[in-house]
Amino acid sequence: MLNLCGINTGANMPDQKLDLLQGTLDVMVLQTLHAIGPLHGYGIARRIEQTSGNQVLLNQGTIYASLVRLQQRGWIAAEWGVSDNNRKAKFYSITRQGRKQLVSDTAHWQRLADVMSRVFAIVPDGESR
Amino acid sequence: MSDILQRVKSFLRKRELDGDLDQELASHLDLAIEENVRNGLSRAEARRLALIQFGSADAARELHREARGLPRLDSILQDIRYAVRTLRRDAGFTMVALLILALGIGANTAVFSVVNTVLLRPLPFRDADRLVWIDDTAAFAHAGLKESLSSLTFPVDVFEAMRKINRSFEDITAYNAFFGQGDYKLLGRGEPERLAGLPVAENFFSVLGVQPILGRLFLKDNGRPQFVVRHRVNCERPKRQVPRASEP
Repeated sequence: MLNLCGINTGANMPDQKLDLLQGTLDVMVLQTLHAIGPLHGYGIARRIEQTSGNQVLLNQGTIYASLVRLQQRGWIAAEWGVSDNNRKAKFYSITRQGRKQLVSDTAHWQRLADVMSRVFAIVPDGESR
Repeated sequence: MSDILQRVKSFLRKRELDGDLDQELASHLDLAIEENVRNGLSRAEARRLALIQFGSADAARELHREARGLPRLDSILQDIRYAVRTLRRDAGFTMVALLILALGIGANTAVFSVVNTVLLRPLPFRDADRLVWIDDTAAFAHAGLKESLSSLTFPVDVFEAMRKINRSFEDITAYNAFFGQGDYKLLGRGEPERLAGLPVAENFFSVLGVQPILGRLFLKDNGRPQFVVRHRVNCERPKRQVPRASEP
């Protein structure tokens, strides 16, 4: 069985990776499944790592908590299947409810990002850009 | 709401879901190792890298359980199991603790049942909250006694005087509290029997609001002894044989 205790010392990871904000992983998973279609956990984790240009500090194991949470909320569905190279794996796909959720989450993150960029655009008195 | 339902379901299917997750994590590692091997790493190196990228599997399992189930209930059950194991290991301590608990609960129950009967529960009479007990604190003090119910009595003439001058109460009644004075021997039919009796004033039952199931209460003094017989005595013999008294 797996025994990985204490393996993640960060040895292989550059210091500058981003810690994920609470709730961001769920949205990333939804968006990944929405964009790419059914994927297994490993595939989703790799996709997120690649898309972020390896900017995100992701212990791949944490994705499974996100997956089960999304599944229980009915936003994704899971099914055991066989991967391209003939390995048994559990495949996840986004549900109709999940797509709805993704739309509202996207709007939410967009607004947050807008607000943040506006806040960063405030310049000190007397300075100009 | 459906989230809670889902969590309860997951909580009940823990073993199954844990097994499912273990399979999934194993397949995750296989996929990762395979990809690393394809990228040119040795099998050992590919596995090492896969494990590093995965992070702690125990943490992943823990997070998984927290995300899907009832983590608080989990930890409570864990505590209970731990407590039971500890108690089982230390049987002597458990016995003593149980004994103390049993004694404590028993003593409290006993005391409470007395307190409940004597102090808390209303008396089983009509308008029990309007019944008062008359005693004479001055007389107690004079006799050098501590005030207490039933340790001092009034003579009959005092009682009669009280009734006469009474304006504060609807009525006043009395009984003879001295042990055994009202007892009678029941003779003439089979085994002789002792009947415990209590001499009471003629208005005793009407003041307490007690009505007989059969027959009537006392008549105005007609010069003969009158009885009210308890239900149980009455039941034990046919009606014709309602006991007749003989003086002790």
